[in-house]
Amino acid sequence: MNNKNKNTSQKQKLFGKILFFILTILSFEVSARPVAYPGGYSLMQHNDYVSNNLHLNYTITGKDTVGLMSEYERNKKFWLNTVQYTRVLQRWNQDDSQGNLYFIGGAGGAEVKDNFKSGGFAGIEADWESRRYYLYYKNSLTKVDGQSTWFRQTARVGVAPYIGGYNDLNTWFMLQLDHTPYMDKNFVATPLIRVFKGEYLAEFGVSTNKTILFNFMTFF
Amino acid sequence: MTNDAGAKRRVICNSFNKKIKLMSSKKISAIFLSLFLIFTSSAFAATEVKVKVKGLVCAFCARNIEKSFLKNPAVEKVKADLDTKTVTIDLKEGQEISDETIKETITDAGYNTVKIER
Repeated sequence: MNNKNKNTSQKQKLFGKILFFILTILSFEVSARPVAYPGGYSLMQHNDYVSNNLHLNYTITGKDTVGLMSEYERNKKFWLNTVQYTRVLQRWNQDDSQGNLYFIGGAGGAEVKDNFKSGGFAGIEADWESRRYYLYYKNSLTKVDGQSTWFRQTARVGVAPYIGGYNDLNTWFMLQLDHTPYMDKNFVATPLIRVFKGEYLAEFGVSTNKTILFNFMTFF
Repeated sequence: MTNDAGAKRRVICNSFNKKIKLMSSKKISAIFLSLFLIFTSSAFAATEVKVKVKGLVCAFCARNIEKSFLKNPAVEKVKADLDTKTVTIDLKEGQEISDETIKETITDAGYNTVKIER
């Protein structure tokens, strides 16, 4: 009887670990080229000291996407679920570089202390990259009914240690800077490594406030 | 004795001639078959289209081009070369793709078409 209980307990622990792993993986989001190709889907996951985020996007046209975004605000301790719209405002295609400017906005609701509150966000995202260098900036203003409005901005610089080909494993070293005026620590830096091959991209970093950053993105 | 030997010789000659005729007809058939295959294969050979693209710097983002073209039933295979900024499209046998479709697909994937070579 004791053995049976032990086995059940071990199974429950194993199940718990697997569930934790899946939930952890599913709570990450990454921002990289949010607009794919018409009819294509992209799945983005992101996790850092501010939030855990899962975002599924469907590209309608070469410039518009709609998606579902679910974000857990770690500081405010609630989930914000929105329908997100992304629009390419401007694209600069050069011989050896590409730049993009996006509008991002979402509307939905949050569950704050067992009460449903309407909420949403709006912001701007921009990136520029060559095969060697990478620049990125994003800001967003979020509002949930009954809560104060909060602003967040993120910037990144990156360099590729080698020039990767189309089918190679590509590697980037990046430094991310976050500014979150509503939090105790306003500025946080995160050195990170980005790797991608085929349609799979992953990022891993450790922030100055000792928080792990892990992001994943794919499209299909 | 002499008549028997002559008859044998005639039989051998006839059989030899038949073999020669059979071989000739086989050879002719083979030649015709080869020619037919050469002509038909050239008529339906897979076509390669090379597209010079602007903005092709990220291998991850460039997958959008591949995915997008592969949705087109005329397309067999797509390769992108970031060094030469070229996208190579292999079409299925007897299939065609217009310049307009290529340009539209490239633009929708987030890039600009510079030149199309067929």
